Amino acid sequence: MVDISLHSMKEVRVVVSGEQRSIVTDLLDRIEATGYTVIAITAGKGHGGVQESHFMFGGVESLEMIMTVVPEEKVEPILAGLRTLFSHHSGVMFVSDVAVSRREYFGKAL
Amino acid sequence: MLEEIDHYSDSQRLELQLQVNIASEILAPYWSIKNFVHHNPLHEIEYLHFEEALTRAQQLLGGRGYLENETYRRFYSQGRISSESIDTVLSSSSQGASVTLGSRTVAKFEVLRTHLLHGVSAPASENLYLLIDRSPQRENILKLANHVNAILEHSTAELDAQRFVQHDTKAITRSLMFSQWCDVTLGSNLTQFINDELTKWCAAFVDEGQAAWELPGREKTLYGVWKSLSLKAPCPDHCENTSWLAVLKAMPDSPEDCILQVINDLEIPESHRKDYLALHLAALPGWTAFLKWRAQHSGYQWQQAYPADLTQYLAIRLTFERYLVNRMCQMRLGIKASYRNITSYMEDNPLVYFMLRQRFENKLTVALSQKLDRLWLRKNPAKDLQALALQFIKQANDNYCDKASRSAAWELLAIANCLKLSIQDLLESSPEELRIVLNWLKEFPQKDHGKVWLRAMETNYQERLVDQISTSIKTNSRSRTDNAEPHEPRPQSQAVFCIDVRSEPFRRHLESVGRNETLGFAGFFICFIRFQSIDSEHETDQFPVIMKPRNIVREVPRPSEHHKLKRFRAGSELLRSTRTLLHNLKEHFITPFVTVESLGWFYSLPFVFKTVAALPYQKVTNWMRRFVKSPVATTLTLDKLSHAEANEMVIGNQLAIIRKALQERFSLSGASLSADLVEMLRQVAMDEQKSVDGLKEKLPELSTEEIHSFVQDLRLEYRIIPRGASNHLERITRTGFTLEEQVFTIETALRMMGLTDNFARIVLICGHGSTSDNNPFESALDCGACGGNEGQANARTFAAMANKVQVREILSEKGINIPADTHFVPAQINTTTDVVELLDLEDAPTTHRLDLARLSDDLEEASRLTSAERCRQFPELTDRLTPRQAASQVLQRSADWSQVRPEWGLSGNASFIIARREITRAINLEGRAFLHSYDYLTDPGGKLLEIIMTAPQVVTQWINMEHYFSAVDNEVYGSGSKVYHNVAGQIGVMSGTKSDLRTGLPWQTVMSGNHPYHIPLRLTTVVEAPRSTIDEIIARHDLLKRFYHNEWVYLFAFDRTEEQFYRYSAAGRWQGIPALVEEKEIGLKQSTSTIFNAVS
Repeated sequence: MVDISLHSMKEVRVVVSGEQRSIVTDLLDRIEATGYTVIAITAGKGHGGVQESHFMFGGVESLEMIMTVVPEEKVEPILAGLRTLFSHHSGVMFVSDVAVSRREYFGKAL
Repeated sequence: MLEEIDHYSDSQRLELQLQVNIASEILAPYWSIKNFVHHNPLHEIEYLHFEEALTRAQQLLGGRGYLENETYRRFYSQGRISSESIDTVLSSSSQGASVTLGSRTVAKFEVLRTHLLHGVSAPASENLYLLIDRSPQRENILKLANHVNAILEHSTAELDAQRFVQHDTKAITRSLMFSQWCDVTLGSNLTQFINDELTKWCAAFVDEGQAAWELPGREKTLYGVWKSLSLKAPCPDHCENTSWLAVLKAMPDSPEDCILQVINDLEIPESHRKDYLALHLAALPGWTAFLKWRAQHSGYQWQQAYPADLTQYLAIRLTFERYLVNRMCQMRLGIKASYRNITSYMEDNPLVYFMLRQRFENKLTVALSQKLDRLWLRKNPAKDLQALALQFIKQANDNYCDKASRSAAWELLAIANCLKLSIQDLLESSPEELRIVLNWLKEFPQKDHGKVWLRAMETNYQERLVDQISTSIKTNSRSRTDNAEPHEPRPQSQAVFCIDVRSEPFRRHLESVGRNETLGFAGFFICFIRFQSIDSEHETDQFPVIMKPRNIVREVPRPSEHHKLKRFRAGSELLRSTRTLLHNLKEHFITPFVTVESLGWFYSLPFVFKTVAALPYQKVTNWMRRFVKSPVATTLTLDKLSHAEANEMVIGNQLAIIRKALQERFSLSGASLSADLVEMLRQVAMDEQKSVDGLKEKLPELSTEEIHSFVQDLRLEYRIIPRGASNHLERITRTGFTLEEQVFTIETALRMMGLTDNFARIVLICGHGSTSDNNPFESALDCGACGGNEGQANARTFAAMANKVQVREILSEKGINIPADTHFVPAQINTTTDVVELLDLEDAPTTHRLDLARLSDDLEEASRLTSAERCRQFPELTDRLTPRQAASQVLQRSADWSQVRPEWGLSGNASFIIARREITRAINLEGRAFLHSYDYLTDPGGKLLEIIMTAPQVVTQWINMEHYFSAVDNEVYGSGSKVYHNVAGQIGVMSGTKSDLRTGLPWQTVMSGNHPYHIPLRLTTVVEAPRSTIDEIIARHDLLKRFYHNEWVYLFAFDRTEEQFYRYSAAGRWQGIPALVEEKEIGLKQSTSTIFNAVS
């Protein structure tokens, strides 16, 4: 039997308009997150009301969720940057605990 | 000045990074000029109301938001703005107030109107006295001045000084950079110098192969290469050598740290940081816009190789600012530069500050100016400034005493003259009443007139448009009831054109020459394709830039033409290498000297012929090109590849890579590059377990280690590994459309257009492109919906899909029955020459021979008529041309390399009409309307209307705003005259040899001579659909709320059953527009034609 041990990391999820996606991914690149995933969202509701985005013709208005898994020490700088982003644009962000098996792959030193 | 390198935390750095991002919202989105995209320069501040955004842009970019008042007044005198429109707009702000002047009652409304139409403002104080002294009304003015003296507030120089200080202490770091403050206070030239330095570095860095001698070391990033090369470069002009080198050496490696240091050192308050950064970004908005684009596209090859972004730009810029401002402040004022020191200096020395500012604006006497200038040359000027300032104040106060009353008198007299009041009326009125009038004028300063003019002009346009459409509908409905037909006859042809405004005249003429129906639809025909043409190495993205690609389509030879492919490829290669060779000969260090002698005569041929006989020259070169590169009839790869085919392609690709690697590494070629060897290498690379023994036999001259390392390279560098192969396979499977995707595309498009039955025998799908010579902006004239490319790829894709039997079968199950004898023909119209080229005619069935012939004839005639109409609008063509003459004229323009205006393009655009063609048919919309066909009866639920309003409308709004801003302030938002343009680095144009990168449209595109040709108006969208549907759509989209509630776009709705227009107010309510009364019709036709005559 192969031994699979899980290591705890943090997952950060950010929901923003498609136009701000590059700002978020740029931030993640700078903090040297090993990667991220972008999911297209078709509708949502926030403090500004309901917002819909066509799956094909979303264009300027698309809504997206960017997810990344990082070691704990990277969370604070990410939050500092995102705080500034949300002072000006709409969106949400949440951090949760997550576990992965290949921790070197996600940037955690052995 | 040497700083300790503070260590800033990652959090602080990232926070700064985001602040830079947010500060960059004032920058226009900019794409490389090879794919010019019309965009709203203020796109990222659309969350502000239109007028607020203009103010903010003025604060940061210095750009005017409206035309000059004189221009609007000229429009008024030409009849483009009616009195009624002005009255409508002004009445809301005057609210019935009035005063009694002498024997008359004068309404506030009249006063405002006079001010608007005539510009009643007293001249500047320097000129006021002279003008009054020389005026024939001198006595009257002085009498009036006495009359009102008592009730006016009088200012003194000291009070003015305080006002200046208060204003500037608020402005510094918010709308005034430190370097600008130095320039206007201390008479330096720092801002221009900093701009020039940054221009130099940016232009050198972003070059994409145009420079003969490239900037070395660019992989160190913009900041890195600047730092390292500045250490070796000669000291820049305003800097002092040792201190400058010390600063450079002490600079941190990270640009964020550098910026944070400067901000700390200059003590910039936290709350001002965003504005301060924005100001610096907005100083050269062209270069920073391009750097921003590059930073957002990290996958772009040039960005990957040579990274640059706005943080690095700011680090360089702020370093310059801190150093230079510090030096200047120490030298002239004896203070260290910081926010606190500078504001304290202003507050503690208001009189000195006032004097310095007046010196900059040349308002000091000559003697005083000279004294001040000499003072700067002394060692310690600061202590003598106070004495000089007191002298200045004494002089200044002499002028202040009468100024207020004389200005007031001037203004009142001007009003009186316009309103036909006499001087007696004014002298008899109480000063109180006169003061009220003066206050009305003060509350409506000339800088606020633009708002009113713009609205009046827009109201005027909208009233005319609504009238035109209403009249057309009434005429149509009357004629329909008169000769009612049992069913609609089948049209001779249907043609789908892009919504581009240039389609409108052509569609009108095509409909007039035959029983042809036309429709409007977004020019990419909802095919989000990445297109690889047969003679290009690059793929083009053929859809609006704001979207993402979905399918890859390649152009391949038709089966019958396969044998010609080799010759075609060889010809392409020959042309390409000749071009490269000639380019290298010109650009190399030494060869130009030889090239000039040997080939110079050859270059004179194009030079002479393009100037004297452009068209014949073009025909000859085209013929020669076709001779070398004989064209191959092509078709598009529409369908998906089977798994087997895809696999074969992947393997073939891997073999080609290995072959190339062998050639490069070991110089193998010909016989030694056997197919077996390559295949064996491939298998070994793909399978780690396989041994290299078999290879040793095939490659006897190589050692085992060399073979091993080569195989490793194949795996790591060239990705000949299973994962690499599957990635490639995934990419290939994106080529083509599945049957479902094809059906979805056709069904959505037909329903969106409202074309679901009564199909003609021929349906033309017409994309568009343009032709011009020597035009860096040629991409701007191509199809915006296709990402700045020509539309034929999309037209061909769409037509091929619509002609497929399997697609039609499924469509009929879904309720759209396309008759078997309907054939879709792709085409492309050249908007410069109005010529329509039919494509893929090999696919047309022989039964449709006559239909196609008839359509071709109609198209030819329509194109001549369109050329004739368009030629009437070129200012240099004063004679009226016949259609035939016009056709050759436009052909000539497209080949002329000296022509700065091959066509007017999208200039003149003003409205976007989403409705059935029925309601706009037979109206002359003068090529100013975007037309999208839509029938709400085929769109229950409004889902398709939602798409039209949130996608094509964005494109039209971008085009509209681009033209608006380039027309109101071409220097700031446009790109200036084409005559001075130099292509910089292949990515954009500069004016002259050193300037900001110019974004926006050139002068010749929006101006005719010195006056605007494009009338800047905000877009008016007209939708033929129920208001409830529209309301629901707006509620679901922030984008639309921004457009309509922030008044970037106007919205009108037309209710088909009521035959009534409604206007959507910024507050979100619908107001009915009074229906057109029958009797007005005749009068209206007359007045409409008067306006046409005034325009043309």
